[in-house]
Amino acid sequence: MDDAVTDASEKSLLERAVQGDVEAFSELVRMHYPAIRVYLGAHVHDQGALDDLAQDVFLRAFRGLPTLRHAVAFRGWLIGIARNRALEHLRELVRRDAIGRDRFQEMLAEAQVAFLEAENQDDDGRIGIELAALKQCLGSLPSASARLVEEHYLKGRSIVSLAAESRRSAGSVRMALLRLREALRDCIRRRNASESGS
Amino acid sequence: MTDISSTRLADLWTRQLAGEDLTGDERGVLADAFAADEVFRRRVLHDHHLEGALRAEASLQRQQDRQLAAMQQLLRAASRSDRFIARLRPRLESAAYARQSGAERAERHRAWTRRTFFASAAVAAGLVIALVSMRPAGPPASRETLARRSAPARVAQAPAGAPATTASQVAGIAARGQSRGPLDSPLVVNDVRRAVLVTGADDTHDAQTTLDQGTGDDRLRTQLEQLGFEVAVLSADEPLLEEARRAQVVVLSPSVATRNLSEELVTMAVPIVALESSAFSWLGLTGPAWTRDLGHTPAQLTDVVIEDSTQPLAAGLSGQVPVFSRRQRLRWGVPGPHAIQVATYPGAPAQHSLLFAYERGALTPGGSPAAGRRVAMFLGNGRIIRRLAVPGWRLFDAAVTWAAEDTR
Repeated sequence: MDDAVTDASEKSLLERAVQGDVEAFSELVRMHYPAIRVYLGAHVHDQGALDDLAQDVFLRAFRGLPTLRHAVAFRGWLIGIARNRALEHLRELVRRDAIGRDRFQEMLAEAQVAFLEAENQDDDGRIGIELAALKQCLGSLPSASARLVEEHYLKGRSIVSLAAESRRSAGSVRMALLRLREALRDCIRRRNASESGS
Repeated sequence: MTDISSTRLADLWTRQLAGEDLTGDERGVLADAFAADEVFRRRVLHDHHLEGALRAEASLQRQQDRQLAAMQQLLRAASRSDRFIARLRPRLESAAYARQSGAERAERHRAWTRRTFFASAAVAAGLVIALVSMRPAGPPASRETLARRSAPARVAQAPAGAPATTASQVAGIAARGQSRGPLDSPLVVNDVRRAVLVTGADDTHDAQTTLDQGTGDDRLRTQLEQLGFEVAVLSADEPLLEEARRAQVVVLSPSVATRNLSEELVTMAVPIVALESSAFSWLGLTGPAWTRDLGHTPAQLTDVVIEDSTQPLAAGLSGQVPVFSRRQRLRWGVPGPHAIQVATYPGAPAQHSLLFAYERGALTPGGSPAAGRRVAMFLGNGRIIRRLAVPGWRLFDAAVTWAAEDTR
């Protein structure tokens, strides 16, 4: 879906939602929940917090509908709310959990905040990892990598278990996952570059 | 350039990501590389994001139906509760007024009982004195006592004014009960601290801001809420003095045009945090002359220099601190000799300050003692606020917290 333009059916749903039609807004949630969840998940790794944040984003959107400007694409608006909500969460973590964390974790948390703040200031519409791009790139993985993704992420199998099954060291499975993620990252970049060039 | 797929760092990072315990030395190696190597830092961050996105995608595949069902339930509940609150609000307001009237009636009854008791006692005492001294009873002292005893009743009987018109007033009435403090006393309802954020449309840097970026004012409001304040966002052309009196702190956003503000705010005892240079001079925290009392930093900068790290306003920071994610041109002010100077910019003349404050009662360059704590901070427009990094927000938090701790 072109993010710059809200399509006709979405526009109709939006108009109904602005009038207070909860069912219309629920349909919009159904359309956009996966993308928002993945966007938030990239920045917030705590799955419990992630559920709350995703719900919070749509609640804020629901209550903020009257302020939505027509020129702003709905998904971009949602991503903006999600970004601000993730930032609030991460800033709170930086502030609240500063004591007791090691230096690396502290720096990583601050770097995440800085990353999102920079994303907020960018005018190029960059909105992190997009679900559509991720799915397309997952589909293009070699079969061994695709299976690793399925076993580890979807089925939740541990690295130790995968290593034992394949008679490899845990380190080599971790490295395989790292290479796989790097391949996905490059694929997403290429896809984004070709989209912005077209 | 560090390649995390071919070094020991990759092993450390992937173990960290997998939740394995690293030794102190290993964590130190990781931290040093992260601090020193921009490429490594970026790659770790991207890998971290991708790991999170993959987990979120997997969670969606497993539980999307359940998550969506929960979301829809929540939305319906929110819609119902919004409608319920909208219907309930007028009833709450009138109930609060009735409760206040009921409390007044009860107080009047108690006062009547007291008056009756003391009057009876006075009559009895008079009779005893008359009997003993055989002189007519002269009870002026008793009348004074009566007057004193009935004084609280008169206060309670005084008309309370119009019924409460907002939820906050409802809460305020309930919390205050029948005792009213001085008008300038801050109102704390169940430990809720109140902040007033005064905004306007005077920030051209926010004019092009899209909703997803959020304006500087959005950021300020969020930050105040995260500090635990209940935030009232008011524009300068709204009547805000009453809200300000009841707040622990007033924050003047850079978007506000001070010419639209009531001069009465300057002399109010409420602590004020001013974020833009015109507000500095309007409050009398600096003189008014551009380039003499106020001016631009000679260059864009990302860092400020903490002048006194022992000050609570320094937020525990010291030395040269990066407060922005991108370079900004800021405005300095020349505070008076009684100011607390907190931060300046690298290479600044001694009198230039980016962050300074006045204690209540400290003489300001405007010629008057500060009516309450006053802080001047270098957040002169929405773009500057949007580019504030974590240490910058710490300074903002410290400024607001210090100001709000002012005791009136």
